[in-house]
Amino acid sequence: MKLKKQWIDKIPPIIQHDGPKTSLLLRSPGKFGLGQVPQSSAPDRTTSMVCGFCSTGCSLNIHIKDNQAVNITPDSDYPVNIGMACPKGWEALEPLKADDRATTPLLRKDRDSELEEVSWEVAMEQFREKFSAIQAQHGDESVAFISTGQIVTEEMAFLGALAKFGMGMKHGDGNTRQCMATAVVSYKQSFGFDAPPYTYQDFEKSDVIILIGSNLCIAHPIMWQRVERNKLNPEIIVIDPRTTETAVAATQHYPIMPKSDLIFFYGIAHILIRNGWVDGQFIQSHTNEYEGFASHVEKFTPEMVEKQSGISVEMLEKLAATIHAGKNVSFWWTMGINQGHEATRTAQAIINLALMTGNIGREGTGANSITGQCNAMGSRLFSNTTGLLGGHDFTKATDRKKVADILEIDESRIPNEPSLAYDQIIQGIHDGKIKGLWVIATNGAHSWIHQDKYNEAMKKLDFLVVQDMYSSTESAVNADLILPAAGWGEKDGVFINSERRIGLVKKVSRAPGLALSDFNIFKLVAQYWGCGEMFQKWSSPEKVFQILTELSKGQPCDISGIKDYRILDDTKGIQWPCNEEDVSKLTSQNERRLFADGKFYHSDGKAKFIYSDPTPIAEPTNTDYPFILLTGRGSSAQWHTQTRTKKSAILRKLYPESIYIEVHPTDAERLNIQANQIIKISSRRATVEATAYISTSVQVGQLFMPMHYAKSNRLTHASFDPYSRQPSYKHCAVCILT
Amino acid sequence: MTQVLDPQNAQNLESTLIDSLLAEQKVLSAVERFSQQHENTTKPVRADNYKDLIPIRKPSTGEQYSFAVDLDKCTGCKACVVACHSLNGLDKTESWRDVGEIISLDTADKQTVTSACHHCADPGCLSGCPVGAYEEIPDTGIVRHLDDQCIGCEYCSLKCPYDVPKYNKDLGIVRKCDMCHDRLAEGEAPACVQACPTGAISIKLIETDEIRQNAAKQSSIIAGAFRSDYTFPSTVYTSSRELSGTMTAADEHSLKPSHKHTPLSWMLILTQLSVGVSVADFLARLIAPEWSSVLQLPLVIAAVIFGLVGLNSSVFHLGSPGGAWRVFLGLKTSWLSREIILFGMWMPALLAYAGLTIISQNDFNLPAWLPQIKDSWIMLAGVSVVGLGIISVFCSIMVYVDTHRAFWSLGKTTLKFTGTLFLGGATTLLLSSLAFQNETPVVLWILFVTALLWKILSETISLFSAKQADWSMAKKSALIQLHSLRPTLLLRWSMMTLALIAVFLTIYSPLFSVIAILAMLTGEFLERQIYFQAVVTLKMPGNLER
Repeated sequence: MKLKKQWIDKIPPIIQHDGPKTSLLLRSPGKFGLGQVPQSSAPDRTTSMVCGFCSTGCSLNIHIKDNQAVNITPDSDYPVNIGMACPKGWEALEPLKADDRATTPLLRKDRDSELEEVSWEVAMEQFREKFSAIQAQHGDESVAFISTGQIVTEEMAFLGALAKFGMGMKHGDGNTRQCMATAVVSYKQSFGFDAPPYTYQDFEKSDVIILIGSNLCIAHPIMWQRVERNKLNPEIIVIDPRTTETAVAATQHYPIMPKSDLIFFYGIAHILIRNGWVDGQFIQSHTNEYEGFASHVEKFTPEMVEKQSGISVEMLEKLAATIHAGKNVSFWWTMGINQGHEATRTAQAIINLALMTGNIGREGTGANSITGQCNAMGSRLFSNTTGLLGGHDFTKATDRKKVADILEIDESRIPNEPSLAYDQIIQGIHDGKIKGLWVIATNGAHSWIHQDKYNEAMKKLDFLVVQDMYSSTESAVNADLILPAAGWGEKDGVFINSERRIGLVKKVSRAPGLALSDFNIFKLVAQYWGCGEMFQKWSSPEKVFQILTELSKGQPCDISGIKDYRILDDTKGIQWPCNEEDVSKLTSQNERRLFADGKFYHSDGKAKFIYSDPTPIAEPTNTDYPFILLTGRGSSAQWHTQTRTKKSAILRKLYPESIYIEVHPTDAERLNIQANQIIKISSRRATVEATAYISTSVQVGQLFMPMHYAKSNRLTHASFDPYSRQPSYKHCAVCILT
Repeated sequence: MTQVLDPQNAQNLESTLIDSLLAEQKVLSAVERFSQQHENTTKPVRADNYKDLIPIRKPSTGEQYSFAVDLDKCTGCKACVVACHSLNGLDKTESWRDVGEIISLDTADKQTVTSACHHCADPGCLSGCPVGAYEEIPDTGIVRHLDDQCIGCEYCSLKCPYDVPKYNKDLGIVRKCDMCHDRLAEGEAPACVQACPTGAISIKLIETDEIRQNAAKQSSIIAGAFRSDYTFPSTVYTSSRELSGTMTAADEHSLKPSHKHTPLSWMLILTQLSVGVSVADFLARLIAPEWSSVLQLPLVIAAVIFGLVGLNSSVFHLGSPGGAWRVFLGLKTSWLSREIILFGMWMPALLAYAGLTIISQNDFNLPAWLPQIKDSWIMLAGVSVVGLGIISVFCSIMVYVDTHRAFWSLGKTTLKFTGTLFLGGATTLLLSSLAFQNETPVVLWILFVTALLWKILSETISLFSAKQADWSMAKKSALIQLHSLRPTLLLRWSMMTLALIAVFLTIYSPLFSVIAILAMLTGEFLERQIYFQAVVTLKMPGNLER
């Protein structure tokens, strides 16, 4: 009887509702307030930390099962992202598992030989031997470093201090030069300190939101979320040559001619002044140099601006009227402004608009630079490259003394002038002045402007060290020595996001093989270089964080109230400034903006109107090169040089595999270019192939190429803003070869 | 001890540092220190974000759940795609949601479009599935795929005009969106709804009648999607802007070939050849029994070989053939189910027909108790073989016609499939005559040439669409053939030429007939590969090709 029953049980049912394949996708209550999660990866613990891609600084909830990080959901309690994340954040753990992680130091015996695995002992010996030999022969300045906005603040500070105070280097810069330098210089000159004044809540409190050179929907989707949460039915104005996703979602779009932006904003200022639509009271009490500015913009008449920008007089008037009608007007800019040949003055033209209309220091206002990388803001204050640690000044003796005292080092170890900028370091290599280079967590061989010239420079070096998570990057494959680094999620530290919020990064995953955190690599270098003693107190990231808070005391970026990592975790990130008094107020108000009291950081407490005459672009179009090439972000699933994002199979599905170029239908028809045809694009520097994407996103005579594919920077022209030394990625002349 | 004795003490210190740093790197101290968040929370903390995006009650009679997308809020961040992947534990490249784009070439306008399964009121996947691996969950209208019921035939992917069910190679089955039905049952939002930063996706209750009315009102749910009166999709897209019919999918001009379906190509051409040969044989017996007697054996043997190889190759098409015994479950609605059952009846008939032919033509010493084979039996078997064969091929045709794809229309598919049948029959008959008879009647040559012309005509006619001024599916299929599939197309016609030459050379030596048959088989196989690859896959608007 029993036997028979078993036999019957084995007959498969007509309809099989359950079984091994069905059970693969079962979901179960995830606990920890997660709701249902895949049963196979239901966590036994969770902890949250700040994302390591962009500067939005979302908090991600890391699901941990059996001591392994297995999944991610966005953190609901964090004031930045309120339970949301972009595709990169959701997939942040995936790049850690890639096959091409650097797992051991790799050394090239000489230029023609292959990279070979070596021990950390050998790697460190070589590092010391090669760099010190170069310094002995060519002087301390002949070795430089290029750093990043992607590592934690404690590591940036360690690197900057080690390289300059310990190893005697003078020159070191970061890839943040490519994204944020303009904002830094603009704020410093206008406000007296590099201080983005806003908090993300301002997106929700504005009735006029002006986005300039910013494709927020794609580049910062979680900031766009804040725009969508705005209940005031705001005017959303996009100023951008391209009809981006953001331009489509806006209520007004001004497709200005590329790099007519400075003239455009002077023209808007002209109309505001002409109509008396300025806040005289605010200007009088809180600013300097307004009269000079007002007479400067007199010549930028609407008619003149129409001719230069392609925007009709009527539309210019409409924009000025919209600004005037707004109660709380906020101005936001990103790379469309920062990466221009006169970027600093352009950013300051935007700052001037906010100042003259009194749109600063109140909720929903501000002249607000949206940052690029997750820790560009950390780099701005603590990387010890162009500025001395903690927002200090290399050229000021008092600043040098303060830093030397706190760090307990000999003041003479601190250089009395800032470093060369990124482009000047590359030029220094070409000129034979710099012979050794240490590249940390960045991929200049892909991202730097006029790529071929960058790569030639790398070949001229006597010794190139690349420290990275991957041994496969365009930069790493040409190195003499690769140091394997742990990545985001494999180490502790803090990032500072766009709105000045300091957030915690935690070690939730183990680095593969012999990879070490950048922090520990610097420790090792210090030991081998013989300056380990100088960094005796720099024992852990948290200890270094405490040193940094001490350094910040009395500065606009004072964070001396933040005692340890615990309070950062408990309060969901803290914006600077935060001295001891501020800490107690955080529980009631953790979204804070600057300048509520109208006091700026210049010695007289006033902001400054800064302006100058427009300058011609470096490479105008002509009959041989009739097209303007714009470069920029392609999709929200791609991050910069794709070193990490291309490691995720699901992210790879979200963008074209190979490079494409947007061509306007009119141009395509004239040149007989078919949709999806492979076409050749040529600049004075190189010729590359790309798939033609026929699209009205670009205007006639303009082309757009996403920056995530290595080829695009073979075309770009190496010109720089004279004040910020930031490369001008948004304009060069090219032709289509037919 | 060794440390003290080591003469290179300094180096040893450094080595110790390296060791301790490597050891420290492996310790997840922060997790120990900070993992307290929501330790005791059972309710989903994200619920506040989505509470307005899901209905407060269950669907009542005549209602079902549907996705509603506010396009004004969809800006293409694609968080929904990755959240679906992560929150549902899908495989590496798998997500049930996708984001595409529609663009205008007249004005500077575009719109990103998020889409998943549309949980249709009349789902094509469900009606096409031969084994009943789809069901509509009662009361919710959610179209659910039963992973352990699926045999991995992928016919649902062809039937769905939105390209929703996706094949998972490792599992040998398709999987698709289930609207996170178990989340909805608990008052939680589906993964994509939870993840959209701007709340563009929500779940609504919709009346089935309304779905049908919507389908009648608009031709499709959004520009670039297939017309709605085929499967009655429940998803509702809304926009404050006029997203005009002149907008097209961003990947409209992609000439990427569709899936090859290699085993299916073999199955189709071999079964059609087999049926063709058996028809030729049967007609020859009817019309000229004397003349054809010497040809009967080679013809039935050829038919059996083609048929057996063809049917067996179809098994290689299935990812999970174990459950294929359930094919009868789809008989009511699925042409694939009908095709399989009918071919399953046709093969025994063919074997019986072949067996009877062999026995009747040989002088076997059969036991006396066996009855004598009568001609009428052979005749009856022949009629069954021809009848079942032709109906089976008709089912094959309908399998593809029923997918509503322009390149697979009734006319085009019938011309191609019956062309193969005709060509197979005519060629095999001619070759057997050339090989086994002293004289070959002219009529066989005429039949062969007619079949050849039939094929040439039916295939080249579709290429002329490339010249059309306006963009159409026909033009796209022609361009795919002429550009992306150019090598296949050239090889296909080279094989036909080779077959033609070999047929003529068979006059001199029967050995050439082998080359002729192989070349014809290869040529027809390539024709069928083109049939599969040049079709325009019906799908939701995508992005510039990957």
